[in-house]
Amino acid sequence: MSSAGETKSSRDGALPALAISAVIAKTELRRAARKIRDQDVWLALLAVGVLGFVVVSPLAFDAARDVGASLAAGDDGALTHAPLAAAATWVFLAAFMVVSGVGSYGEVDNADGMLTIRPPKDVAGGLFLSSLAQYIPWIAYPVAVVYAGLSVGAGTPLPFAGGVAAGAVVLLSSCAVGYPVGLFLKGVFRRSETLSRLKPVLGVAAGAIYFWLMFSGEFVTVAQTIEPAVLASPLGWLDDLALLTTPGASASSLAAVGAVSLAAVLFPVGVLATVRAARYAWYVDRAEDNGTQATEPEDAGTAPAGRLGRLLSTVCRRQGTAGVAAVTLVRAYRAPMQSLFVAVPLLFAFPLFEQLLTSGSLPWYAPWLVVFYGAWAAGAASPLNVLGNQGATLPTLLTARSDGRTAVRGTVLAAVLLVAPLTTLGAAWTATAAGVPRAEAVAVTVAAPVGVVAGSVLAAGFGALFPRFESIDVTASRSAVLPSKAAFGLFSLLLTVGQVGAVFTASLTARRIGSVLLSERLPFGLTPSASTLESVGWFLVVLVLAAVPVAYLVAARRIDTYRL
Amino acid sequence: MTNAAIVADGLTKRYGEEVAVSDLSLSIPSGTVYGFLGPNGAGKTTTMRMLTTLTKPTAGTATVSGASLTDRAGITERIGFLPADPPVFDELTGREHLRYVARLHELPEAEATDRIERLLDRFDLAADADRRVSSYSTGMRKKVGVIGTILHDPDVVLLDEPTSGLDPRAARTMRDTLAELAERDMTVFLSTHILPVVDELADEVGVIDDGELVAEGSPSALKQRAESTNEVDLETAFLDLTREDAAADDGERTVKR
Repeated sequence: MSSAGETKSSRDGALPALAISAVIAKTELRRAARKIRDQDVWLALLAVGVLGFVVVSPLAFDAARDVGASLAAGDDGALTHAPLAAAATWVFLAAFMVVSGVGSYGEVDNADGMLTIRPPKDVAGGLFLSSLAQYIPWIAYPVAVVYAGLSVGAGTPLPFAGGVAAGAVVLLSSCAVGYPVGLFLKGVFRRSETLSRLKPVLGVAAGAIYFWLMFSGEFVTVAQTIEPAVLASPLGWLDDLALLTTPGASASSLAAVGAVSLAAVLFPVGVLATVRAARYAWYVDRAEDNGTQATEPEDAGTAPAGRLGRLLSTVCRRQGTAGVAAVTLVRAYRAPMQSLFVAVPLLFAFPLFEQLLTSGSLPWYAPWLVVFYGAWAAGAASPLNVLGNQGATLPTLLTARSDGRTAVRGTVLAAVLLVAPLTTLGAAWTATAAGVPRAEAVAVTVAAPVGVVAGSVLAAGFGALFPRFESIDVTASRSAVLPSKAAFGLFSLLLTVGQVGAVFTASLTARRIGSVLLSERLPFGLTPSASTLESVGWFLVVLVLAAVPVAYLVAARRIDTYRL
Repeated sequence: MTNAAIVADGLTKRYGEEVAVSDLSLSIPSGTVYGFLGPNGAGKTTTMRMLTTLTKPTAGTATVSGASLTDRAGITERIGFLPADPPVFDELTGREHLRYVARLHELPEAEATDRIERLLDRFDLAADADRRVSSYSTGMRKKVGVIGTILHDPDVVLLDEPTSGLDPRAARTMRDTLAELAERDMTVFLSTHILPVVDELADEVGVIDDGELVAEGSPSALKQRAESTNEVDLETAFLDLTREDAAADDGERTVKR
C-alpha cells in the first residue's frame, strides 16, 4: 500500500532528509512571506527595519572605506576592536537563534499533521533551515555594505571574499549552536508548569536586563571584562577569517582555517542537536491531550479570575464590573502579546533612560512624558478596542445581563489598576530626578492617575465607535487584535491635546518655551505670551476632561446597542 | 501469523495521577473499518495519539501495520492521520497544501497531480482549490484534510471525527470514501460520535469509557448486549454500555469470534 517510487531510506537515519527539509523550509518561508504581506502591521514593521538599515548604510560604508584606506596605507590601528566586534556579532546571532528556538520559529504548525507525515528529524531540519534563511538578508546586507566600503578604501575587491566567508561561517555556526539551545529551553518550559506560568514575567525580566545592559553602558564594561576570554576562544578566530583577504590586515590564515573547520564540524553537530532538542520540545505530555487535567480542576471560585473577581468585588459596587475587570487582567497576564504593542513607544524613551543612567538627571519634560505614556498605555492596552478584544466571547458580553456601563467600567478599572500606580510613581520619581519646582512636581503626580483614568475612558469611547475584529499573527501560535487606525489616531490626537494643555497649565518652563516657539511659527505676527498659553492650556484641559463623560456614555451606549 | 493492521497490548497513558487510557488491548484486522466510540474525555483522542506516536504510552506496546510505536519513521510511512481539527495551512491554497503533502510523502509529481485532481473532484473542491484555505468553510477545510490523509494510499488511516462539519452530501461522500478505502484493503480506525456512520460502515466497534475498553464486537453484537428485550439501535447500546453502573457491574467484553 506504500506509495509507489518512495524510497524508505529518507525517513530513516539520524540526520534530516535534506530534500524533504528543504521542501518544508521553502513552504515555511512562503507562509511567512504571505502572512507579512497580508498584515499591514507587520509590513510597516518590516519597512521600518529596512529603513533603519538603509539609513545607517552610508555611515557604515564610509567608516569601512576609511578603514580600508588606512589598512592600504599600512596603519592597522582601526582594527583594534575588530576581534571583539566579530565575536559579539556571533554571540548576538546565537542569542537571536536561541530566542527563535524558544519562540515561534521552534513551533511546528499543525503538529498533528506534520509529525505523522514525516519523522521529527525532517520537520526539525526544515524549521532549522527556514529560521536560518530568514536571517540571511539581515546578515548579507550589512556584510555587503561594510565590505563594499572596505574594498573601495583598499582599492581592491579582495576583502569581499573574506567577508562572504566570515558571514557564512558566523551565520551557520551561530545558528547551529543557538537554535537547538532554544528548542531545549522550550522543552524545559513545557515540562514545568511553574516556568510556563512565569514565562511572561521571565520574558519581561530578560528584556529589561538586555535593554539595561545596552543603554547603561554596562554592556561595554561586561564586554571589556570578558574580552580576553572570548578572544582566547575560537570566537577570536572570526576576525582573522573576516580580514584574511583584506590587504594590510595581518590576519592569521591558520586561525581563519580554524574558524572554517570548526564551523564545518559545528554545523552537522548542531543539526543533530536540533533533532534531539526538537524531540525533547515537541513530544511533551500535556494534560489537555485527553481533555483531562493533570491537576485538580478549578471551579469558578478558585480559578485566578474567580479569586481576583472576589477581591475586586470588595471595591466594586457591581459584580459584573469586578468580573469584567478580573477577566481583563487575567487575560492580559496570560496573553501578553496583546499588550506588547503598548510597549513599543518605550523604545523612543531610550535616550532619556541613557541620560538618567549616565548622568543621574532628567530633562524637565520627562515627568510629563511619563504621564502621557501612562494615559496612552492605559487606553491602548485594552479599552481602545473594547469590543474587538472580546473575540469569540463578544456575543456573550452583548447578551449578558450586565449592561454596557458595566463592561466599560470593568475594562477601565482593569487598565487603571495596572497602569495608574506605576504611572504615578514614575511621574513622582522623574519629577524629582528632573528637579522641577515642587508645585509642578505635585501637579504632575496628581495628573498621573487622573490622566490614566481619563485616557482609559476616552479610549473606551473611541474603541467602541471604531472597533476592529481582525487579528494579526504575532507568532506561529499567537495572534493579537489591535485597535483600529481610526480609534488609535483620534485617541492619540485628543490625548496629545490634553497633555499639551496640562503641561501649559502646570509648567512655567513649558509656557516660556511654547511662547518662543509659537511666536516664530504663527502667522500674522501672533506672539502668545506665557499667560496666554496658560489660559489656552486650561481651555484644552477642560475640553478634554469634558470629553471623558461623553466618551463613557458613548461607549456604554454603543455596547448596549451593538449588533453583530 | 495474524494479518492485524493494529495490535495494541496493554496500552496505558497516565498524566500524573490521572489515568487517561488504561490497559487497552485490541487487534484490528487489515482491510476492516474499526469504529472507536466513547463519551467526551473517555480516551479516544489519547489512544489515537498513542497509535500515531504523537503521545508516548506510559506502558504497553502497539504495532501499526507491523511497525512498532518506537519506530516513528516506520509509522509515518504507513499511516494517514486526520485529527479533529484538520491540519491545513491557512496561507496556502487548497491545491498548494495538497501538493505540499504529496511532496512530503515523496510521491512522483505526475502521480501526485493525478491523485490530487481526482480527489478534489470527488470532494467537490476543484473549483475552490486555488483559493486560500483561510477562506474555506469548516467543511471545506475538513475535505482538504481528508484528501491529505489518504493521498499517499497509507496502510492504515486514523480519523478523528471525519464527518463533523460536513453537510449531508459531503458526509455521504466521506462515508462512501471510507467504504471504498476498506474495499481496497486499507484499514480504517474511525473515532466518531455519529453512530449511524459506525453502524453503517464498521466491521468492528470498540467502546471506550473512562479510559477502559468496555465493549468490543460487531455493531449487531453490541446491540444485543443492550439491556432491553426490544430491538435497539447502536445509540441505545452505546448509552447503555457507558452508563456508570454498566461499567462497574459488567467487567466482561464481548469476545470477537
